[in-house]
Amino acid sequence: MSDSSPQEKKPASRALLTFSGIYSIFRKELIQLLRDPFLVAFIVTLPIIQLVVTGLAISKDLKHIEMIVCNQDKKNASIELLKAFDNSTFFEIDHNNYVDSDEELNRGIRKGKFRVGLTIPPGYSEQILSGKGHTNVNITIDGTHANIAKTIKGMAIAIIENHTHEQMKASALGHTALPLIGLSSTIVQPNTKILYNPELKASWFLIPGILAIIMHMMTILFTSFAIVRERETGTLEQLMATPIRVADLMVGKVIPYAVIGFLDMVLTLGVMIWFFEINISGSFWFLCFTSIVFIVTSLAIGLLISTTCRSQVQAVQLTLGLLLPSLLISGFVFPLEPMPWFVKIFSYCLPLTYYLDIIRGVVIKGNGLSELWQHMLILTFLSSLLLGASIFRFKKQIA
Amino acid sequence: MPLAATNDMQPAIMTENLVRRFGENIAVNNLNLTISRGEIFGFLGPNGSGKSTTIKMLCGLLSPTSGQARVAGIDVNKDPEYIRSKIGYMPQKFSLYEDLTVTENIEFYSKLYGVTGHAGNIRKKEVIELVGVGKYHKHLGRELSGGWKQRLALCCALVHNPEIIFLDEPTASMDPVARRELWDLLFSLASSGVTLFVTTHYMDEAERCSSVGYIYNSRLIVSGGPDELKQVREVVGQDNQRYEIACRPLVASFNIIKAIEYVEDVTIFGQALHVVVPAHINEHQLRHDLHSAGIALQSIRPIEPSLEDVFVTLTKANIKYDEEMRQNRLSSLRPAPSGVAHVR
Repeated sequence: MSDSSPQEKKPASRALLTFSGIYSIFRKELIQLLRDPFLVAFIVTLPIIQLVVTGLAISKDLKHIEMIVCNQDKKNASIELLKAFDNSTFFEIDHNNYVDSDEELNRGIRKGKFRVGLTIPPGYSEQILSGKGHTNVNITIDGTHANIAKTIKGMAIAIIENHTHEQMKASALGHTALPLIGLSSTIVQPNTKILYNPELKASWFLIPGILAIIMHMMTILFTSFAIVRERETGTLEQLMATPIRVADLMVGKVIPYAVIGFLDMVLTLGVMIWFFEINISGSFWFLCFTSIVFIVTSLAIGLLISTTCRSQVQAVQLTLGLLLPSLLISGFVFPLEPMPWFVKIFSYCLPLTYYLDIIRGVVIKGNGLSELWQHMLILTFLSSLLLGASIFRFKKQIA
Repeated sequence: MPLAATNDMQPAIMTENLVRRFGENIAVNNLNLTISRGEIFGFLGPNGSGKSTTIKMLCGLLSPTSGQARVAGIDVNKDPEYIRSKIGYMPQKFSLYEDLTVTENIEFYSKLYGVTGHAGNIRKKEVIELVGVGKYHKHLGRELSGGWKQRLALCCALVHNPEIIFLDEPTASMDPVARRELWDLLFSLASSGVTLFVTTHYMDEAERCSSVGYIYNSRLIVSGGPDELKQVREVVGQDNQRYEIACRPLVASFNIIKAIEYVEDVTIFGQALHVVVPAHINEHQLRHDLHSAGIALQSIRPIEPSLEDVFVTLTKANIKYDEEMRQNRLSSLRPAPSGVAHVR
């Protein structure tokens, strides 16, 4: 095609796009892409794992909500009512651990083990048997997660109404030990009480959660570059020729980012308090202390990513690949209860899962060390495990 | 075999059957080296021959698969961290912080090496003066030219007064003047008793070293003083003679000479050819044969082999040996061709 003389070095075609040009770039790009095993694995596995895990985790309807029960009646009619709750897959009652007082019930909810409590007052069965008027049961709901609280409330009321209705029908037909009492007899009146967030504002739940996620993401990104950047520029080689200890290097890298992360934390807490008008019910200082532990854990995740990757690009890919699913399975938006057990295993390996409980517990419920010491212990354990793993990985690489 | 206890008379570096494998591959195969204190040791070899792996093992950055090495009297298998406090290392690529100033880089490394306090300040001043980076103290690492970057790297590698300095191709990205200046600096260091372990691709630099080792395909083929190496039997032998022939046109003559039956080797050296012929062919006969082959001869003279000749000859001999080994694995008892002039 080229009939131009050698003096003219113009391309033969002045077209905007040429097939040969596009093809040669396309081919080169494809070869490079396939030659990076990390990227290939990333492309193939990430979407599949993300879809499967998160799909399984969040497409489930809410169920298996653990309910704490204070049965002060303990007679037949109350046991029938509890059976009605048992028969729904929505609630789950641990029959071996009833509590005796409302204080104990409230404590169970405050600790975060239960989202809902049912109190059946003394004389409940007698009232039912009398077949007159109405009797009360109390439903206490943790209002932290506003939407879940609403669902729980609706579900509990529906179960009680349905149960009353069934009872009436059964007694009308003589299928029960209870005496025939007619259709217009005792009505069970549920009294609901929402704890901590009586107005059920969604922001109370979401803002501290978002804050946790922002801090998590930022701090992981801080350190995920820390080692890999030095490897890429070659400064690591020079550094390792000095008598510096690996543990010194790792801890020294983490501390400045921990300070920055903590300052960021305080800033965002300020925004939460003054801009979104969400007050911290618990101790501000306790929240600061737990946040430092969380920040160090996140930084340790970043450090481990950094010792694993060959380039900064890989570090970003891996960070995002880990962050996206962890947002969905940590309980940030979707509750953990309905998730399948194998997803829950991952959930309970994530520091974020524990910290979400901590920050919501302190901000909304006013929790302190007595409720959250287990969370703190696990976070501390995770951060030392991750730091240890980074040091080990790094030492293995240079040996 | 245990090596002798530490004392000043001990060699700076001593290795015994040092081996490093990476999976199936042998990067360094049975390396035996002895380098005396105050020496400038030039470590040569093609890319991928095992130079960097050797340096990394001697710096305690990589543990040997087998064999022993003592650096500054310390066993690399036992205390690599202690070794790092006694040596300086200057990688091939500029490996200091480009976003720190010259002073900040020096400060950082002196802290890592524990060079602090009053004595530390004196030492820092001394090194900065020696290397001459003082006038750039406020410049960022990235603002320096190649030569000054290497000087800064040298400064950081020297700040703790190391006994041995490893320099991996220190002049690779330098202009000739900077190259000369750096070598002057290296000589003055060596004269003050520091041992230098330098890798290079430049033959003129190798000639300036007090001893040289040549590694090819993970084996140390030869080591010794540059003058000793030129006497290696494999290269000079009793049975051949090397001539420098100036003639025009060079490439055409090269091809013609290569075709002459008795010529063992021809190499282009700048504007001349180096030709190796059997000893029984004298200068007169060679001149005659070149004339009759139609070459316009300008000059011809018998020469001693250069270091480059030594390495080229030995590399070719080793390639041939490797090929024979591949074809007939039974002959593995025969040792690889190597120079005999091991250092002192």
